[in-house]
Amino acid sequence: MPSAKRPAKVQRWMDVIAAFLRFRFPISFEQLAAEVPAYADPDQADDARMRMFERDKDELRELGVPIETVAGEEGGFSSYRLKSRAFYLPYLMTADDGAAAAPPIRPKGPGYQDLPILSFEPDEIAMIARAATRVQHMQHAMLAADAATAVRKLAFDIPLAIDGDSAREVILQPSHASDHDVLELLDTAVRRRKLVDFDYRSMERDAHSRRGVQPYGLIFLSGIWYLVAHDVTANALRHFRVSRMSRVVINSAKAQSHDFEIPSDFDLWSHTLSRQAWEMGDADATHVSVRFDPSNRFAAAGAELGDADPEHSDCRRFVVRRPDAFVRWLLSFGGSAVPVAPSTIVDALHEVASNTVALYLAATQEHST
Amino acid sequence: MNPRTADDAASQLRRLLIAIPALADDSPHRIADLAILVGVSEGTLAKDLRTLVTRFDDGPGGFVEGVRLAFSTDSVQLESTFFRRPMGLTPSELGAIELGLAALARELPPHEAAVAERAKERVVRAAAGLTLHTDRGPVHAARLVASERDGLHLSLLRTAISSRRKAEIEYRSVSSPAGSIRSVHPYGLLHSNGHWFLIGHCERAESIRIFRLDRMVAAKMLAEPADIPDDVDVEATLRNGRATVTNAEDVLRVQYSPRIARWIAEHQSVETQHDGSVIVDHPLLDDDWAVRHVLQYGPDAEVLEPPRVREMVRERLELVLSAHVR
Repeated sequence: MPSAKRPAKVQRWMDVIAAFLRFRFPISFEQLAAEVPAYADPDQADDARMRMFERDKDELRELGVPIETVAGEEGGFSSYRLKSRAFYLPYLMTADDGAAAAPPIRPKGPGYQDLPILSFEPDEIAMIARAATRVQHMQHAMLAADAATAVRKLAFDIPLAIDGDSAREVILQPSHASDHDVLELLDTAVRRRKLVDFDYRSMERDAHSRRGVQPYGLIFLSGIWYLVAHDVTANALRHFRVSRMSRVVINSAKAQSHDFEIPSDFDLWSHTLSRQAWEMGDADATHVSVRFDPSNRFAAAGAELGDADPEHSDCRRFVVRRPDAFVRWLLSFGGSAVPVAPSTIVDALHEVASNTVALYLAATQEHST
Repeated sequence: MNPRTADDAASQLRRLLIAIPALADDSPHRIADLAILVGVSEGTLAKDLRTLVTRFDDGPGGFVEGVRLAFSTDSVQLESTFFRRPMGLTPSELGAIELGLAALARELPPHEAAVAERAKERVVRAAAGLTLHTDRGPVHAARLVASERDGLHLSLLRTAISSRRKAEIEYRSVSSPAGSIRSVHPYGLLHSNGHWFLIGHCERAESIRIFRLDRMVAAKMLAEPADIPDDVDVEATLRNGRATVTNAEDVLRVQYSPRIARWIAEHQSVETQHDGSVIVDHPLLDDDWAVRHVLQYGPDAEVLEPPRVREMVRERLELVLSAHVR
């Protein structure tokens, strides 16, 4: 049969979902095929029709349609089920309608009668609207679209809209915004727990390098998206700026199974707390002790970013993952912040100060000759 | 499989599962209204509905057999026994709302944060059908304010703007590092490059000013009404207002090396040199700020003008070298 005459894929999917909703119990592929014309195509071999269903099932699950597989007894064929309670949105009510509120009018047809009723407080509804508006500000097209669709669904029953008063609140998009395709790929990799490879250019080295990581999550911090990932080569947790990644490739082997598990003690939200440039690096963590001049107001403010130093009572201690960025930060205090340990940082500051002062001395000599 | 086609089918499915429940109440609906509800153009919506019901063979029906669709010039009517409720929230939709609520819960004052937490539990219950996704953790996390204090101030300023009341802020700036008290008619809020700004009319300066949230030591809402023009446009105010804010007479001229030129150019307009380095003119309000700004780039930034700042940079570098602990 020419492909132009086949029903559209979305039609086939709607047929599949409707067929499942018609039955309250798990059904076999043959029972399903009787309801879905595309699976009963006599021109197609049995295994080709089955493969088509397997692909549809995986894609629909990916889209959030919770089709369950029920294993057959003693090696028999599997059957499948989609519970209407798991598919349809429950009925939602505003709590302050109270007892006076009429129960929802349930349409005739399969699946509607046993949908639960959930009530929301008015302040919760307002907060959901604010949350959805917030997500529109995160420079992530797919997240914004998901939040908007969620609001459209909830708004069937409860008064909800994304706050449109944007003239009073403006989010400027930076010129170095992350590529939406890259963000989308990384989202998928995190969800499916798949390994990711990418080219990364880092400011310190100004060079591209190929990285292989286990992606644990994405964080949006100070207007920038970072990937939090376990770097396989370094065997350590790293932060990567999404806007500095390119040629992102998800491991395609065994697409339906996890490549790794995220450790149970990993807390993505705790990574939104560290926000200094030197903490957001892709190197091993170093503890650096720094002595600040308390009479200098900038140095006093800088000291607050560190922790108490157990080894040097007159110092503050910092956890540094980007030594280069940290050394430059120290340099900006112009002598009011002095590192005492480790020697690598002490020497690095001396070196960068020597190199910088050379610029001014060389130019002065040029001017005077 | 062509991923493009899959994407299209996925988008169509999402749209149809919102359109059908809105439509399937046995009465005609204006296509224009429905398109707004679904969030697409009228043409796309009409095409989706036609795609749904067009069959090319005479085989057994599928669900479409039970669907009746009637188009008139500007309205559409549909009868169906299925899909009369919207599909529940998908894991990614739930994730997006949870992310927004969790971010709010971390930046709002405690009583509002508690509401955000409650709302999160409700939304999760509304998506309770997601039995296949019991192991899901958060994919995203976000922080839009630098500190708890900024979050409190942001919330307070939003209230002041929406209730059109004046705000009083204690503000630290380069010109008054110890802080000064300002009464502001708040026009709007702006988020740019990771910072929140308040834009408003400052009574002390008698003109529009832009205040960085993380430089506010304190903020409170006053009882007095604020004078806010009805047609205020925050973004335009910012563009026009910048000149009045940076009324610096001096210019700090800095040359950045080719190595970091790309990163400098990400943030501001630059003058590119033959060797790949870039030169940028910054408004110079405060020499201390200028020295700190340049030093953070080490040998990758050099002050060209003015000479007194060049000299200050050199002196500070000598201090760093003399303070070197061996």
